[in-house]
Amino acid sequence: MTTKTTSGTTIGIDLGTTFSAVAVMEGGKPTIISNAEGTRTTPSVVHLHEKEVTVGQVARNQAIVDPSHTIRSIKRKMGTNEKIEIDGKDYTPEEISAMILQKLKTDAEAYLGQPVKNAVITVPAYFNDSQRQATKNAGEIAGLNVLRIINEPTAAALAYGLDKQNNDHTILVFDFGGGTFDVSILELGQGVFEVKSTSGDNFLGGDDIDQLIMDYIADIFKKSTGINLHNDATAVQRLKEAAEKAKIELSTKTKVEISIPFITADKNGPKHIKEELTRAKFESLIADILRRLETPVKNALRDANLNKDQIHRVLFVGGSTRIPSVQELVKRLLGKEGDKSVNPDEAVALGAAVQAGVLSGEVKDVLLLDVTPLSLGIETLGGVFTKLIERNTTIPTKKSQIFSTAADNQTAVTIRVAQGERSMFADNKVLGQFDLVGIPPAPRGIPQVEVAFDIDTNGIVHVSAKDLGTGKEHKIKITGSGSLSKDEIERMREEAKNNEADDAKRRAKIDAENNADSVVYQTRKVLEEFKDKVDESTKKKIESKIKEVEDARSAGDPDDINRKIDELNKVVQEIGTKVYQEAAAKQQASDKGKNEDSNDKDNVVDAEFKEKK
Amino acid sequence: MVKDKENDSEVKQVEAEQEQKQQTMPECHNCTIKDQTIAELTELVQRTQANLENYRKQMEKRIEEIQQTAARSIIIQLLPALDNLDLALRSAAAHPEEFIKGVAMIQSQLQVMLEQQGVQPIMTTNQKFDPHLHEALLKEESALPENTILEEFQKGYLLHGRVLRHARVKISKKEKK
Repeated sequence: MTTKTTSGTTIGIDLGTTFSAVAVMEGGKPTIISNAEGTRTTPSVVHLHEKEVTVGQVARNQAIVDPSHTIRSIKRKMGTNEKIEIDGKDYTPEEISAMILQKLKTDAEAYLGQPVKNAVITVPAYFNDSQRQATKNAGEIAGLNVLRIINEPTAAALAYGLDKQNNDHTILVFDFGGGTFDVSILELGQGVFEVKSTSGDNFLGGDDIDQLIMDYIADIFKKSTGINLHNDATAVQRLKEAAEKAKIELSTKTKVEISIPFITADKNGPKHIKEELTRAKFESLIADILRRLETPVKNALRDANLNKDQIHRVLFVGGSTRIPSVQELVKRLLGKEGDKSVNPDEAVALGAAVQAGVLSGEVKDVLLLDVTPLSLGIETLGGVFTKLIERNTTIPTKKSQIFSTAADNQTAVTIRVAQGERSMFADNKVLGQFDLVGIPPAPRGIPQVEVAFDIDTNGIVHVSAKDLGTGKEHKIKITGSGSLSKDEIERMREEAKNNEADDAKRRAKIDAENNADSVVYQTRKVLEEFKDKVDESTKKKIESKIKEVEDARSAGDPDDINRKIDELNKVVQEIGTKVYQEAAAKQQASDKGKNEDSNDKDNVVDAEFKEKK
Repeated sequence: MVKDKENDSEVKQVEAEQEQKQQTMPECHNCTIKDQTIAELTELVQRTQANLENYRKQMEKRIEEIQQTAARSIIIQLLPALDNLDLALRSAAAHPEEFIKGVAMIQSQLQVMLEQQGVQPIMTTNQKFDPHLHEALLKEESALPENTILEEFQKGYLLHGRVLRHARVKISKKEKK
């Protein structure tokens, strides 16, 4: 039996070629730790000068003017006997990597407010024993107890929660980062990952893409002005930033404007860059890079002795996988969409933190909880789907809400349960239904029925309905809610997304109609109650306004219905004011009390059940 | 001794049987209570954990909303400057001198607004180069002490004392004799 030691947390570290990141388990979830500079990733750059070591952005700030004291991409040298000579002193790749790890450790300690002793560090799947040993040594030099070295694709799979899958799985991890491209095929069986094959290109990444955009813009600029921007350090920096920004924006937009005012000047005055870059042009610029991504994928499949149909899932890692044409390429090569639900820049560090949590005993099996893949709810007035438990809620969980009746003297309600994301009940997957009978006759909106959903750890949904007036209760157990396949869930979510606008319109219409019914009902009730106090002309005015609401309701334009409701409410308020004034004049507190009562009851009604058929 | 051994093995056998009994049907009263308690506590800890996770999800949503509203309040303060730029551009051709004056006013309008948000410009010229604040793009021979900032290419800013953007600068190196 192991006991958890609280002295020192375990962190997960993604020690990358161009960037590194660190994460920790917080409340059962891996969380990225921001560095001292406030960013979530740290450049893997070290600056060493007169015994002063700086790492990350601060090191980068001196890199251009002091290249002889700057070390980049040390990861490429791990496991070799190469020495890095700075000011006459030799450093091993381990020692340089240790400086990066030291910075990550310090930043993590500042964030956590306690010392960090243990770490899980990731390495590429193709790293050999000496490269792994070197990475482990680097950790120890940095003062970390390296609990385990794990493969980057395995970490990514952990970040995606794939270790919780019960059935055997073959996964392709497509890792296209800032400076390197790695393809790994993993086989997952009984919670154990096995690397089947790896392939890639050690010198291909997002930085190459930025360079292509920069060259393209600089060329255009040179053609129109004759000025070569490559000789101007400031202009190059601004161009580089603009290029990266354009690249990122082109992942969501089909064209961007690259605008750099006052980039330079000649004897005729200042010069600006104002250039449009369409996604199509961008794609033609990077066509060659896209082609270079193909072979490693094919090689990985060949080496693993698999065809593309035997790959169950594709995971995206690395910022460059956000580029739509990269995603399309993967789909074309592998016949399926890559999974991109975890931030691709952070997936590896997050997965390392998951592993760290498991090893340090912070993650107990019993606490690896599932989430509901789809929302659960019931049908309410007008066929509306009212969600009680939103999708992505961690289970076990319990939620309840109070509903009422939709008609006077309604003595039974039907509780229809469904799951899905559509706003109309009928569009979702029906899970079951039951009746709650024996509700004492009362005006609509008065009875209070508490509906509770309780999902246990096994995903079994217990639905109960209780009449709070009589204490009568009825419940059912739904066991089939977890039986939907991943594809089915995906399809349902997709459908909900595609129908969002239409659903919202229908929902608005039904809400307006329900509102109209309720207001008309309440107005009639008030009118009946105060018939002696309301004069004929007011009565007529109200009746005509009610008619207008009803006409609008049958015409079915929600905006119009709501407008008419407002008008009706205004007129009704006039009676209210009149009645109150009279009541106040007569100092009759009892009348006033009655009025407030009925208002209170209105507020209780959250939603109403459709009348039992 | 032999007998003892026999006894011993007998005892062991009985123990084994008892153990088997316990495994197949946990009849002892305490076991049932224990099992029940374990099940209850397991469920409790799971529900507590789930509550924590759901609470965190709510918080994440809330933070996202707050971020959006925070942006809102800053954007509202930016709009007058944008309005004034529109006005400035309209008068640029007719009154170039007034245009320059106007743009300078807009600049200080923006500076004041940023200052109110906790933004401070980073000092550069004639300062000693500090990689925590400055990014060096060029190094040039100069009579000044080494690593003195000679020129600012792009202003840098601090937000509440932390670097928002590093200042881009040119720094000095020793003159070759």
